[in-house]
Amino acid sequence: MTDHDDEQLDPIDEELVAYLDGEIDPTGRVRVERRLAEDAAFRDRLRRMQQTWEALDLLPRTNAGDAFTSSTMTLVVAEQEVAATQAVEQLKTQRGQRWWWAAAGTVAAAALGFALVYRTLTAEDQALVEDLPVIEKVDQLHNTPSVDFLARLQQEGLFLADTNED
Amino acid sequence: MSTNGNGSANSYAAVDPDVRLMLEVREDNAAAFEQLVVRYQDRLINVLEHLVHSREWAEDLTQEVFLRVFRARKTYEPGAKFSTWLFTIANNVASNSVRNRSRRKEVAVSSTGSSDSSALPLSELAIAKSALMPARRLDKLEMAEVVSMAMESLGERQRMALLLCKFENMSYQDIADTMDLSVKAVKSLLSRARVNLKTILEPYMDAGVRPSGSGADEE
Repeated sequence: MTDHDDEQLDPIDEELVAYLDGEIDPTGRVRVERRLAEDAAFRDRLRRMQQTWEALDLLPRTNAGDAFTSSTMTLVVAEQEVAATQAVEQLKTQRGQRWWWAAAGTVAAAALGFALVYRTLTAEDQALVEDLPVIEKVDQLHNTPSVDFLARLQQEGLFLADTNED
Repeated sequence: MSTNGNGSANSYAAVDPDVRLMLEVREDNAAAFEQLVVRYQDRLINVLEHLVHSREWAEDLTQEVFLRVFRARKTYEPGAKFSTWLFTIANNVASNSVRNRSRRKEVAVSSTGSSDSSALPLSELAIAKSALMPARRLDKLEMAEVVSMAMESLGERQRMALLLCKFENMSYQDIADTMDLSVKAVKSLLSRARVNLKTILEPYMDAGVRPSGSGADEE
């Protein structure tokens, strides 16, 4: 069965119900009470409405009792235990994942460090190789009068030729 | 139902001891939760039993409501009286359950051809149930039976509004909050429900005649 709320409702009934429920505005209350004082049929309508409302007091009331409370609390505790177990499992999974991330990070850092050191050392060796001709002739170069003289030798290709011959 | 700010949350906590209990439940106080269960279990079962016409079903729904309250404890913010919040959950749980059961019954009905007795018009219900009752005596037991039947003939929303108004003494505003309706809609719903009840019960109350017409149950 559905509630046919769009059906027309007698405004008098609506007003009487609101009056009985104490949900009527002060103006409406005065209007209802004035009419109740004057109109016997209106009084009877209110009485009948009130009578059926009071009949609802006859509906059976139940008392759940302590057993119901206990079983409800047991349900809640059981659910809490399940939630706690799931949380522990999740924590374990997160810890496992964290360990793997830490291990991967360590390996990556070691690889990066190795690459940097290797590159630095290689760069130093490369500089030595490039400077080898100068190193070999360092005693002779000490005797040259100036850097300009060396520059002129290089411009004229004498320095290189000499080096290549060696 | 959420709070409109700390001010309103504090005001509800100040005037409603059950809101204070629920705030303790939020802090994982199991004793506070048990107190709420004790305070509200009968009230919930009574309303839900008249809504779904089954004590066992009402008890299951009540426990489901308490479980939902417990699950929601960490996000609870007082935005209404505790009872309004609780019955909002109850209304949702009951509506979903009734809807799901109706769906299952629809499938069963289409396969077996039987009908749902809870959806029978009052006249048929009266005939069906009068066979189980002794001779006509205007005693309270029979009257209670007739009133129950009259309640069953109302639609779910009218019945819920009526139960909250009668058994929980809720204001129209609280009923509106609980059922997610406007106050005007609640006023109209309650008026229709009470007029329907009057139409159904009057012949019995005036002359002891069990209702035989079907007009009153058409809301």
